[in-house]
Amino acid sequence: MRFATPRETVPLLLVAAIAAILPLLGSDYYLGVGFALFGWIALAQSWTIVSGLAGYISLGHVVFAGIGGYVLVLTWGAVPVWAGAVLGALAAGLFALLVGLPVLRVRGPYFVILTFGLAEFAKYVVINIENALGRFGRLILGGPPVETLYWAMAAAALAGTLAVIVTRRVRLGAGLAAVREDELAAETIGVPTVRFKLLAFALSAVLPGFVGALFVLRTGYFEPAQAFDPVISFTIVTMAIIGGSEDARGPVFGALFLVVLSELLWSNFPQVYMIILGALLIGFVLFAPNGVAGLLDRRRPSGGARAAA
Amino acid sequence: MLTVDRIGKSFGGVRALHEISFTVPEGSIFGIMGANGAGKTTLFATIAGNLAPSAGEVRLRDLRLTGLPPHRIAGAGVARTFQIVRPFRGLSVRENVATGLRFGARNRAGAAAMDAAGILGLTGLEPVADRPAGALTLAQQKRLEVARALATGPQLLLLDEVMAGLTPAEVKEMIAMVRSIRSDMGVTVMIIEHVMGALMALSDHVVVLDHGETIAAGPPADVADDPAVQTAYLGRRR
Repeated sequence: MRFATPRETVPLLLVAAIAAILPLLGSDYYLGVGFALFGWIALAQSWTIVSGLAGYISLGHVVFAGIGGYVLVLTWGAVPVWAGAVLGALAAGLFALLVGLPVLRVRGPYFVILTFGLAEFAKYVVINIENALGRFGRLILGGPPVETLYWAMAAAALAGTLAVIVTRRVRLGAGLAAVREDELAAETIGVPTVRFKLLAFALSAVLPGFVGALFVLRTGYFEPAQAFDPVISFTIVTMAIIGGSEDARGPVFGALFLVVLSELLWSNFPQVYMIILGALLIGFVLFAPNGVAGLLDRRRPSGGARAAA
Repeated sequence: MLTVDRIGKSFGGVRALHEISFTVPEGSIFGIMGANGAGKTTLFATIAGNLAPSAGEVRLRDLRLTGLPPHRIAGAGVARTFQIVRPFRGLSVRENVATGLRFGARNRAGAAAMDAAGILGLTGLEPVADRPAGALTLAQQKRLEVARALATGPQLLLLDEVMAGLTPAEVKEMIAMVRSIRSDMGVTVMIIEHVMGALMALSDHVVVLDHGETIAAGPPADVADDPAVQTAYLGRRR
């Protein structure tokens, strides 16, 4: 096994350091910010497995978080809280396996639109189920304290970061890189593309399911339009554009950047926040398509060629 | 080693291949000739599994390849290059080869089990090994096609016009490379080539396709003298 490279150690250490420092500030506010930050990191890392490494851009990743949250409220009271969150993660992974086979047959813009449509479809299915049951939002009372949720989410962020690092190193990562670059050529040199894509899709769904369950525990209620809010999917993609999605650094940079920016601006100047965010997105797409991580590599040309080897 | 048994392929009403049959002997260099649109690349695609034939079957020794997905055919020891090159552009040349090494044939016997350095050396890509594949010249990308295919550890290598667009000097190098792939690595080679001289010089056996049908087969010297071949290539004599 090769030694860890900076592109592997930097994001891991960054997440660990933030997780260790925030509780020392002694305020629930910082725990809340950290909880959100780690949630976004876990989501963006998961997204990176299928969209960054394999090049299948998902615009519906919220669906997995929504499923995780929904499973948590459905099992609330019937099983222990942690079991509900784990079941949420498993359900999200299972859902990805089931829909992956047909969905992963299309590429490029068609895949983007399909994932978006699938997430909206799932949202309305859940909304209608809840309406039929006569439930309009479900309250979760007596969930775990914020410290517990904070550490659970920090663990999720670390797990997501590790997942990207490990995936890039193993055979799966090499195969996904080949799929991203040229799927027909990948299949022809022996990459089992269908199996690998499906595996990547399922891997990228499990952690968001867990994160979605934690989100519900934190807010204390479940409401489908909020749990399946497409803005969550857009935000994940935005973080990947700003941070980069070639390796585990990008999601950490992107999430950190966006969470800090929104904490600084959102409460005081919400309109300015959206304008700045829009300008930043345009700027990154035009001038730094590989995000902050790409900018760092450009300054240090030894960063070299991309992806797994 | 490879048996092509009455292969046919139609695209809608267009008959791209019809009743093609031949056997490629182990250790040979087997040439496929034919004008544009004769069905040569379609034939390779049906052998490698990229296209499903409409009729007939392809066997590698006792293994029926027809119906297997391409990655299983690669696993069985068949590799192909693409006439229109398809490198992993964003990856370095070395990573392209490394990916081939990491996948490909399950059973890498004898000389076919070369490492990345050996393959880069053989194909002359060592000096550009760390450049992104997309930044290479066409001649280099053609060699990378061969390098990546070799990295899969094949018993049978399908080369699709790896010399097209190359200068005469580059063609000479490529001929030497193909010979050493057969003699040093023990790989059986099937080759499609428009550069007639190169194909005749290399091949032990040639099949000529015209409009999807076999019009001649045999040693290169005999095939070159065949009236049907001359008609297909030079036009009908009056």
